[in-house]
Amino acid sequence: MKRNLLFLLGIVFLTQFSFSQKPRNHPLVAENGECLRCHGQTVYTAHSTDGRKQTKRPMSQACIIAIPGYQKAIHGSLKCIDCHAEGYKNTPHSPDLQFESVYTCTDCHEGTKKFKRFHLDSIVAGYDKSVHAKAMAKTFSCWKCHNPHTYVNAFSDQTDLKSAITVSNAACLDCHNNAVKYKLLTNKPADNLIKEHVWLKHPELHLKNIRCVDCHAKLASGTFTPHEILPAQDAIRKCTACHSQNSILANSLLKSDKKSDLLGFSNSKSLEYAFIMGANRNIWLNIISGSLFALLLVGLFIHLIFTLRYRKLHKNG
Amino acid sequence: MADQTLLYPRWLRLWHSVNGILCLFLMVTGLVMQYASPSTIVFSFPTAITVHNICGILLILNWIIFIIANALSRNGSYYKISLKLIRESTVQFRYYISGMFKGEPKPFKEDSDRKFNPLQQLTYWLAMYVILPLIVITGFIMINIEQLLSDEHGIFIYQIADLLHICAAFFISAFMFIHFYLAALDGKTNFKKII
Ligand code: HEC
Ligand code: HEC
Ligand code: HEC
Ligand code: HEC
Ligand code: HEC
Ligand code: HEC
Ligand code: HEC
Ligand code: HEM
Ligand code: HEM
Repeated sequence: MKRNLLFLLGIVFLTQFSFSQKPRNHPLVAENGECLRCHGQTVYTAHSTDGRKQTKRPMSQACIIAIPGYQKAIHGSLKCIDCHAEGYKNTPHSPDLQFESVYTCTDCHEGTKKFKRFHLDSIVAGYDKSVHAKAMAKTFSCWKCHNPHTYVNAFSDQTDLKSAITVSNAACLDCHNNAVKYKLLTNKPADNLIKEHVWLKHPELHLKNIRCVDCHAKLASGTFTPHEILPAQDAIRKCTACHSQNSILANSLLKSDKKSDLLGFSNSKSLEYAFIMGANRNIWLNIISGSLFALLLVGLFIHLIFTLRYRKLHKNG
Repeated sequence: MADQTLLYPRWLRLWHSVNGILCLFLMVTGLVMQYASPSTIVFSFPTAITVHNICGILLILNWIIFIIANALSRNGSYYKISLKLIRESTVQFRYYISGMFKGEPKPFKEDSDRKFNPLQQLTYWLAMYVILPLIVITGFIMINIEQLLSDEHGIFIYQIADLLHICAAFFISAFMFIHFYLAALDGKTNFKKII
């Protein structure tokens, strides 16, 4: 129904991001079974050192890896020990392993041809200048936003713009709305995000329908996902930055080759999931209504002149 | 000429003033929203939205009052339309564009049986029973965007509502200009009876 009507309207979406049709679903990596025996469940079986006694223990929440999520993740084809130390094969793990140094994204991806399209240089440079990197140089890393076990790419793994936004924002909300993760990094109390954004009139609507980075990060060349998160006071707060014909969203989220499509909606890409007043103006409606109004005023004016002339003549004659 | 205070009772005059002022505000703020740009000066964008929403809700109430009052009072009888009216309207229209310059008398007499000339009758009916309901209903839909968008098809309904709203807003604005102009043609006394 919805599709037909959209077709009737003839709204043409020029989707520049290539949304893939099928979500990833990696087969389980055999070697990972050994780790997931414990980490894939809420409860694991612990053994005494001599192996004779055993008991059921709860796995702490942060250490549980949801298996379906892992299979759908970009890195779901990797073995746990591609990233983690071999030492984890021994249980219980040695406490020293907690201090293992983890790979960064660039360790594996820098300079590879397949990765060129992501403009890693621009991303890394942006990240280095971000509030997170500056305030928490030692403890923050790319992994904090790109969950190592569930990360999916917002644009190539999602089928539509709306879910791309959801995935993208989940990266931030997963921490800013999660007291435990937030506390691991700072002693500051976590903000109530809705409260921080009430000035947006419809805070929930906005937080769901725009990416956090569209307001909070500085535009960067080459990537749709700018990584330089600015201090809060430098975030975009002017409504007309988005609610106008040359919306800033046109340079990032709604980037497309054409300013308007056949039917004349500006920034039409967003019509797939939203209606942004001011930005989704219809140029044809604007022109037609403007001309008709001008015509009407001219008509009334001419009528007025005739009337005045007639009345003057009438009085004199 | 029929008794003006009978044809234009106090409630009607009060209703009409409120209606006119609200529509004026809604037009201005609506334009600011539609043509929002970083340099808009009349109203800032968030102010325009707040004013538009408040005036919009008041207009809905005002419109409901009119519909109820019209149903209960004699005033409703002037809003009966028939096919005949279209033909008569063209006669009235011809009078406005040529007849009145030749000194012809008004083709239809206005009295307590016929308060409006046919053109007025038709356009007032269109304004009050077609365009305003459209604007009021679509506006009401859009004001509840949060509830609407929890539904999967919500955004599509919203987009359609918005387009209808804008089109209806155009017609009501055009109506207002013509309405004002034609009312002014009859001179000051004509305004007195409705204020
Ligand atoms: C017998 C169950 C068991 C097996 C098998 C197991 N682990 Fe663990 N693992 C644990 C427990 C228990 C913890 C501690 C959880 C906690 O902190 O509450 C843990 C913690 C970890 C941690 C977090 C260390 C830290 O505190 O930062 C990592 C990383 C880890 N395991 C990786 C692995 C990998 C990789 C494998 C497979 C090679 C594996 N584990 C196999 C039980 C197991
Ligand atoms: C692409 C690399 C990568 C792969 C593959 C990977 N991990 Fe991790 N894992 C990490 C990183 C990086 C961290 C540290 C995250 C952080 O510091 O926020 C981590 C943390 C953990 C933790 C501790 C949780 C925490 O929040 O500190 C556990 C447990 C864990 N991994 C288990 C596994 C298991 C089991 C597998 C295999 C099913 C696996 N990992 C596969 C990179 C990986
Ligand atoms: C241990 C090495 C390793 C690390 C560390 C690593 N990756 Fe990967 N990454 C891979 C491999 C291998 C693939 C290919 C997986 C496949 O095709 O199944 C991949 C795939 C990807 C893809 C998909 C590429 C495409 O063409 O679709 C993205 C995006 C990605 N990684 C981002 C990251 C980010 C961001 C980080 C850091 C937070 C990171 N990776 C860290 C090994 C790694
Ligand atoms: C503050 C959170 C945050 C940090 C820190 C972060 N990213 Fe991202 N990154 C995102 C978000 C949000 C996206 C868009 C959603 C997605 O694709 O997952 C993204 C997307 C990406 C993409 C895909 C871009 C594309 O065009 O699809 C790459 C590659 C990437 N990041 C690499 C990195 C690297 C490398 C680092 C560390 C230097 C890093 N990110 C640190 C939040 C972050
Ligand atoms: C793993 C947790 C985590 C993630 C993920 C995360 N942040 Fe943060 N963020 C923090 C913490 C902690 C601070 C407070 C830093 C400080 O000032 O000590 C912070 C600070 C900020 C600030 C600066 C506030 C100020 O006072 O100026 C902004 C803006 C911000 N984050 C936005 C984002 C956005 C946007 C994303 C997603 C792209 C994101 N964050 C992802 C933990 C996180
Ligand atoms: C419309 C633009 C916009 C969007 C979208 C937006 N923000 Fe904000 N955000 C702001 C502005 C502006 C402030 C500063 C508010 C203030 O200082 O009063 C802010 C404040 C914040 C703060 C508080 C910093 C502090 O002072 O404590 C955090 C954290 C934050 N935003 C995170 C996010 C996250 C996470 C998202 C996505 C879910 C998001 N923002 C979406 C504009 C935006
Ligand atoms: C970063 C871009 C951005 C900024 C800044 C922004 N908005 Fe929005 N706004 C949006 C988007 C995108 C939507 C569409 C949501 C939808 O329809 O699903 C929206 C929707 C709305 C709506 C609902 C009606 C509509 O157009 O669909 C109102 C009202 C609104 N915004 C008001 C404001 C006000 C007031 C401000 C300033 C305080 C503001 N916005 C700032 C992007 C923005
Ligand atoms: C004379 C009456 C009215 C006129 C001329 C008018 C005009 C407009 C215009 C031009 C817009 C901008 C639409 C856009 O660009 O997207 C608008 C939006 C809006 N109007 Fe009205 N309007 C009127 C009455 C109402 C009423 C009665 C309501 C109901 C409460 C209402 C609620 C809204 C809402 C919620 C929006 C926001 C639409 C959006 O988000 O795009 N309006 N109006
Ligand atoms: C869009 C807003 C307006 C609407 C919908 C509207 C509607 C109406 C309606 C329905 C009537 C007939 C009332 C009745 O007797 O039942 C009427 C009469 C009248 N209106 Fe308005 N009006 C609007 C704005 C205005 C404005 C701004 C003025 C000028 C100040 C004005 C001046 C008059 C006058 C003088 C009459 C009485 C003359 C006559 O019978 O035609 N109106 N209007």
